Amino acid sequence: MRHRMVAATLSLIGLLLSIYLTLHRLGVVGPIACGGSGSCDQVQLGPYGALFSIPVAAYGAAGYLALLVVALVGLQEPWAGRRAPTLWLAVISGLGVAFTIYLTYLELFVIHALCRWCVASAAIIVAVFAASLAGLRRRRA
Amino acid sequence: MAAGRSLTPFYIALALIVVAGGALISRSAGGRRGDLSLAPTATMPPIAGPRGVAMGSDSAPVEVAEYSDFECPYCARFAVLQLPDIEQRLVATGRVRWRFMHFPLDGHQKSPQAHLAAACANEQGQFWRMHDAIYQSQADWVASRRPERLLRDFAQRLGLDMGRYDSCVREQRAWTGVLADRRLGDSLGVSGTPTFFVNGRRFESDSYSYDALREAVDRAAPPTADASTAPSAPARR
Repeated sequence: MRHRMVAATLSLIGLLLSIYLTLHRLGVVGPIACGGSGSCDQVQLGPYGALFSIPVAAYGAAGYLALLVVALVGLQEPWAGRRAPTLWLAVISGLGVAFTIYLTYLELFVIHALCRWCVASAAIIVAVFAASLAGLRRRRA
Repeated sequence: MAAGRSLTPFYIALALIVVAGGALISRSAGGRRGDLSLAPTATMPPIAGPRGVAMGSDSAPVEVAEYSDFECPYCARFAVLQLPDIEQRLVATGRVRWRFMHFPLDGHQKSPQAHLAAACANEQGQFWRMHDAIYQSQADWVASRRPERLLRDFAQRLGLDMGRYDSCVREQRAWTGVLADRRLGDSLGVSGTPTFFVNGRRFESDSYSYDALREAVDRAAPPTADASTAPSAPARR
């Protein structure tokens, strides 16, 4: 149960972060100048900031929302005693980690700029994945 | 329900996270629509000599200097969405002389090539058309491995004398002018782009919109009754 609470908490933080980054890409929030905001403007507002015309951060928001829902449902009866929610958490967060590795590669080797908020999101998704794996191992043991 | 009771503190913690996160995002969004202020944080001496590139009447009562970086997305947004309005309603009516100041930022690796290309186009009197092309296609040339090729394509499409353009880029003939602008900006404390000075006073705002800039221009030189019907000055030159 505890790993699902950890996953839910981290997913909620990741969801809020992704919403912020999506709004930043859309120009609703964030700084209005270059130079003082680290490299997030280059990463977020550049050509790699969107995929099929949808902000990359919006995909992250969808993923975190899915994780949050699965984790919260997994805390309710009759799902609390079942393994399936933890398995789903591991699958979704695993896909998120793979996508994050690709995005971090783009930042480091193609865009040559690292957005601190993207790094924070990467840390969150890795932590959710780790919590899910810990949950799976505990149930197996 | 026992499980529900034991989870209550957890749900309260999640709710607090939502409230705190929502407040932070909302505060960040509110910052974009804040009040205009013309803080005298730095003063700029009158620009003498061939610094920057100006458009508008020499007798305009207000000069706005814009320190801009061609790779900066915010500068592109301003150039594409706001500058046309400013040019049509403030520059062409003779109220404002607009001066573009080159300010390639350190972290933007492809920016120097774009500034050099624009400065070379300026040698042939085509700075502003090149400026527009560079900003409108920013996503393309910034993503390109060979941005100089795309920049050369822009020059070709604008009908520049390509022999002159190529030699200017090769010899980096116009680069000293770009550096002079950058140095002047550094001396005035410019650290980000876009940064504006209205009649030498730094213009600070949470929104670099036409309305915000027009308000700053109005404060610097209140509009006269016949301003709206003033004969149009040739905007770009």
